Amino acid sequence: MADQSHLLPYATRADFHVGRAPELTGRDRVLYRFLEILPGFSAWTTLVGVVLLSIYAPFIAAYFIIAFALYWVLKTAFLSYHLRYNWKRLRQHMKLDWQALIERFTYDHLYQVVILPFYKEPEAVIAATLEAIAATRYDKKSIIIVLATEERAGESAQHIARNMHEKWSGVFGNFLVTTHPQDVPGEMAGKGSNAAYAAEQVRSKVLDPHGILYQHVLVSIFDIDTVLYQDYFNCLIWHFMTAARPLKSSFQPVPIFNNNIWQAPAVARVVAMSSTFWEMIQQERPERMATFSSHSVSFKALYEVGYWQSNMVSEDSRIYWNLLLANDGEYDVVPLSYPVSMDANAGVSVWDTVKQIYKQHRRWTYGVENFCYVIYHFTKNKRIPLGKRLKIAFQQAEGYWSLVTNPIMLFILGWTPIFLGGQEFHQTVLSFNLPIVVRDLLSLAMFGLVVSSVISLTMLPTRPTETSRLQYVVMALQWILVPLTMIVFSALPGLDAQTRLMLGKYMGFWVTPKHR
Amino acid sequence: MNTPTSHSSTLTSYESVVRPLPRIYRRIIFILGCVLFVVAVPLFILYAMGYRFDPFATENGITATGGLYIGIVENEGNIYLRDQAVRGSRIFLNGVYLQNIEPGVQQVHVQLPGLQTWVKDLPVFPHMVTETRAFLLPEQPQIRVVTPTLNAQSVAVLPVDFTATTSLAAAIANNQYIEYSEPSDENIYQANPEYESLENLFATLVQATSTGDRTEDAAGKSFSFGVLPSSATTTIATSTSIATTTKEQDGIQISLREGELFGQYVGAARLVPEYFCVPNYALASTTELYGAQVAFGIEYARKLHIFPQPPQQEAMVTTNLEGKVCRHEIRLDTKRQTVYSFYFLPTTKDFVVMHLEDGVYVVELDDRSWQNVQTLFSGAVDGLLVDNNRIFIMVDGVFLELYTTLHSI
Repeated sequence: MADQSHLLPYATRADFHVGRAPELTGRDRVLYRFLEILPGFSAWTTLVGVVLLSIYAPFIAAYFIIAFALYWVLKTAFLSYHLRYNWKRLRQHMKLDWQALIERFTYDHLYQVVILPFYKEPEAVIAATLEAIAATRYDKKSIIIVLATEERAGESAQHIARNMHEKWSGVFGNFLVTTHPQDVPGEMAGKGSNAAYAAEQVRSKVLDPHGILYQHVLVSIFDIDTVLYQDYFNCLIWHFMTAARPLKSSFQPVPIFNNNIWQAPAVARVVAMSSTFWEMIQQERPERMATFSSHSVSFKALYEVGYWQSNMVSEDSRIYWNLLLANDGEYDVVPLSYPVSMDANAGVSVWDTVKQIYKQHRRWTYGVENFCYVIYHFTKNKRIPLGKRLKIAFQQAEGYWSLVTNPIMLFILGWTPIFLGGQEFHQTVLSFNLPIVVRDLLSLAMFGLVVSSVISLTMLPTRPTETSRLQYVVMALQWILVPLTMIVFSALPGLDAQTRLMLGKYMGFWVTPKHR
Repeated sequence: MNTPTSHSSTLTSYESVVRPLPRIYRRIIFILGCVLFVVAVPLFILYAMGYRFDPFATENGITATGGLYIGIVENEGNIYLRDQAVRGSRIFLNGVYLQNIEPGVQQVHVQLPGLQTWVKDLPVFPHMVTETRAFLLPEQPQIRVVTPTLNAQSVAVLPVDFTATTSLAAAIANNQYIEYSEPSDENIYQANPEYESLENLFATLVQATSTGDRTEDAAGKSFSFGVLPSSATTTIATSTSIATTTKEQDGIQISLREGELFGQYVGAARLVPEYFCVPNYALASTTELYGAQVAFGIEYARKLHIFPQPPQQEAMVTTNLEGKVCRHEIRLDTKRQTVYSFYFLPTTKDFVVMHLEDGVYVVELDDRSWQNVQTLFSGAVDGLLVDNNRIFIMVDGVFLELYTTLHSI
């Protein structure tokens, strides 16, 4: 049995890294399976319930829909307020001289480990990522690059890794290439298993041999298309040094999916920017945050929970829940309000893009598996205050429920009483006014889109010379696609993911193709 | 060991810039939002139900209003409510919804220059929407001549002798819209397959002519507005005998019986058109609100309780449906003329095209207050045919297509 002495007590549980119900036995398995069923069941019950209500109690359905539309308007205004505030903060952070700001700290004992898991992405993507890291205003000799390859990716990936090693090993303090073996029993092929393997490799091959203390190491795990801004590490250091409990915190930048924004189709741009905006909103309410995509965390914290889970899909958020549970609720996410640039999900054609975005968002929304994990462990770890457990449980449940149901209820089911309500309802003023009131409320909510449109224009990278200035107009107007994208790339993939989990048809990791 | 610790005490003015949105602000905004939600939801619901508040009203500032939904079948028009132009909301493509209407009988008319005006008095009830369908046919008939020959460009060529026919000459003199091409010596002519097809159709057309034995009673009572007759049962046939000609569309059956044209509802009870019915709360005032002819039919329905069984046995075996009383038969206004043939107006079920003695007319089934009858072609015609959603007539041996929409002259 592997040495577990470094793990926090709660992390030594056999079920700490549970990925799905079949990995458990007895009552735990029943409980976990119930939790896997719950989100999909709730979503379907809601959607079918609205339809049934429209048929059998259309007046109540109409009242509910009006109230819901109003709730949506207020929610949009509330979130827009957060978005606007974070936008100002983000812009301010990008203007700051973080190097000067951290001069007052002693931080030269700190090392930055950058883990870059990759699969079959083109060499140009990896090269751009490394170039950006090399261009950061930080002592490169304190940076340890871990290029985490997959054995199953074949020789071409190894060839790229060798090229990168040859080019960049002299630039950084260390440049480690790891090869995650394929077909490891109990593992799911994906980013989590690759990153966990890479972390252990860097510990045994770099940190331990050089006597580097784990609490002196900050690990940044970046998607392979992540392009850093110059002061990322300085900003990270500042937040690490000023955090209330730096070793019990993860540090979350704002992922801006704009590397290829000028080349991506409108639908991809809207979806990408919407994802960025959601993260920006979350940055202003850190108590609701979990880590997402590229983020940073101390090596010590990672080591204490056994790194990223290797048996599930959404490892980027799961690591936060692992850390929160293992630390008995005493763990934070610190928002950096500093960007990292990533690729908007764009395929080789519009249809290809649509399919890719759908699959990517289905993978993201499969993060609902974290809901089961968190609630399951909340029933086990009584050391976390009950109030905190209840609050998080409600936030998670509401989040996953509204993700799937809200857009469908607003933009589709909002009209069902009119069509299914029967003649008695159909002849009322309420029936005729329902679409007008809902339409007007949603138009009011569109003001949030205006805010989004303006903010998105300020976040665009420099326009390529071959791109027309008219494209700015398109960039502003593309936000009218939001109702569509909310249904097609949020609600439907979310419902798909929750239904799969409900039916026990567990998903594997799908790697988003990158094109440059 | 050089473990990083919190340095928040060393922060300077920079702190105010970097700090996330203060929690107290978020909480205040959240609470304000909740309060707004709790206050606004009932107001929005009451508004949607038709309640309106007039802060300047001397008494009873809160009123319950109703609505009107006017579906427009042929041609767009301007809508007037009690002679005031109004603009409604477009909920569906071909309908206009008027809200905030005071309960009571409201006169609506829809008009546009070049089109015949549609007028109706309709009752409006609190919280309820009265639905109707308006149609506006061109004032001047719009005609396309179907000629025996086409030119090389497949444009109809009008033979010289066609214009000598009385009706066409009159039509041209009346500046009607007529579509055709003048003959030209330079053209090569070809036979028009449409003409040949119409020749065959009109040749086999069996006209449903009225028997002429229109009852004195029925004719005399048509569309009168007065007190409900005491012997109501004598004028509406209860027989299930098959009419000489019957046409059916989406649950509406039109039949010619004893010289009169009737529209019957034979569909599912839950889908009965509104104009067949009177809500229970308006029964006592049916004559004032809808006209005597509706009151008469409703009274008959209430007495009889069971309609003649329609072809689909599922349909209305009782007249009481979800708080309303429905007739299942409405007599159409045939202008007291002989009906030679009739069809549903293409793509509709609420309007009938009639070939009468002095022309072709369109009448609506809806007889609340009265039935609008509009002229489609003025003058005697030899035959009427609706084929493939197009209306054709034969005049003096010439085939004409009648357009229901306005074409430029």
